[in-house]
Amino acid sequence: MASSSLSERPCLPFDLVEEILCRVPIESLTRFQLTCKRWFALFKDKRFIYKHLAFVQQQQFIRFSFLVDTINHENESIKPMPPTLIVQGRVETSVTAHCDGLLLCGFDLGKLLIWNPYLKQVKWIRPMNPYSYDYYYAIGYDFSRDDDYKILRFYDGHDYEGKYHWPNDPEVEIYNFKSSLWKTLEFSWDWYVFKPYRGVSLNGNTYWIAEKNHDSNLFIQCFDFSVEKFEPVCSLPLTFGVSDFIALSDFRGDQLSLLHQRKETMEVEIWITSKIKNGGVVSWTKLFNVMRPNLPVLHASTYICDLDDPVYFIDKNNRIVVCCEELLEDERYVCASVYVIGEDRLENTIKVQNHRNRGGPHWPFICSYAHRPSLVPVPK
Amino acid sequence: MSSNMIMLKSSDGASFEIEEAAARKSKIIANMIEVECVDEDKAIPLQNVTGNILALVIEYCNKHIVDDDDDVATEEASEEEEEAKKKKVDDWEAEFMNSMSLETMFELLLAANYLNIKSLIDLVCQTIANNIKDKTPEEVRKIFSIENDFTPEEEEEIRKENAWAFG
Repeated sequence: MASSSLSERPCLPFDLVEEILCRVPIESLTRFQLTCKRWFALFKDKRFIYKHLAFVQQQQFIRFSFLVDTINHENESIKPMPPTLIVQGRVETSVTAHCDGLLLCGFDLGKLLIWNPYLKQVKWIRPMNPYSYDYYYAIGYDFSRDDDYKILRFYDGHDYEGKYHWPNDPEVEIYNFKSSLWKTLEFSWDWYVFKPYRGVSLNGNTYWIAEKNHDSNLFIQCFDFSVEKFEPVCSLPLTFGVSDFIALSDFRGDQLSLLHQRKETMEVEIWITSKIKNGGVVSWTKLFNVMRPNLPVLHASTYICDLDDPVYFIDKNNRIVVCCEELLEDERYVCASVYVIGEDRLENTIKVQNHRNRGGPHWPFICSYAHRPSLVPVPK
Repeated sequence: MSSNMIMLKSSDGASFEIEEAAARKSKIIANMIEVECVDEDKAIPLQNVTGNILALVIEYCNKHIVDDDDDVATEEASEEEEEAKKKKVDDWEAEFMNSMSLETMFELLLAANYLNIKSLIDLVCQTIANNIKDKTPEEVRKIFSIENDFTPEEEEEIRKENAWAFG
């Protein structure tokens, strides 16, 4: 009840305390575990964990290079990840998928690791076949059952340059945490993932930009974890030039966004979809375009160049936040930066790291990923 | 939209006149109006809200009736107008919360909860969340009047586990 004296702070009922805490960033919650036993228990409560996740609008980059760092564009901080014994010092990892703050990392010896860096929880998973860079991965769940996580692993019959290799047939495998078993799924196949190849997780399903084998129209491909099937969603709202850059991200937790940079003009445009609902029609709207002389030039990586694929998200102020690498003038070094681009101007550039240009993919495998920190425990 | 005025009375006896449309932001008051237990000449007594807090609630509700009226015309408004309007409300809300003490925020949150005004609960919770996020566990205990019920050993254990977060 309200106190009669203003100098005395009233006591809030616990449901209101919870309403406040589900809006507090995860770094603070980790500290607040020490407040009392009730709060400590609350942060492990499944209902609270997903409520908190729904409020965490802010994404961050996690970058695997010689170290594992998180990059927060708002306070311009670059922090090493909380050490996790198994991951620390094992820099041959690369992140291959993200869902609800859970990261799936591939190791060169074939093992997969699912990791919540903030909880320092890990679980090793042995794949049916050894890890290979030509496989795509996704983590997802049945929309009606939040904690029923699964891992998808597939090969679309193409290598990373988009060439079709006979007689390598596409393969699809799915791992279920509940049963700890892999199974193979059978599909007929007439498409491949378009680069950059990162999937985007949204409400349990994962989305990629894809291209049909015999027709150059790009479209959005979805893997629906509830029915364990690929379902094409919609075509792209733009004409794509061969050297243009294009990438997918999520927007406000229930929409997709698309970044397109035209090679000739360097103009960047951002499109967003309508809300993605099961079976509903999906349409595109242009959010804005930016035309500035000082924008970064975005490239998808190739085998001959040691640049990480650009990765981006749209922040709560509708700014593009993009993490990318560029060759410095003498081409001996690569500079990794985060650009914050508003509708009408380039607002900020955060220098992350310079590293030697290694002229191709080399150890350690450098990659950045946009993720939403969460309290979601690693599935048992 | 009717411009009926109704009277609200705080726990410490202050009376406030407010447009019915603004008062309806409170689910509780809207309910009272629906079931006609509002006598036009009599003020609605709000036992749990003091006058200074009720004044803030009314200021918030008055500011937000305009938005609800405009909702009818949403389809005609262009996206840019929508954006501009949202920005204006956001700026107003930031200003409204800006100089408020934590004590007042807590009182306002309790009042918004009692009167069931969802958007005000959201606003105050988010502001308190921003306010506490950089605090230490000790400071947070003070703010929420919480007693530390961990043993020193347990506390040490959690600190060690999460050393990175306390750095």
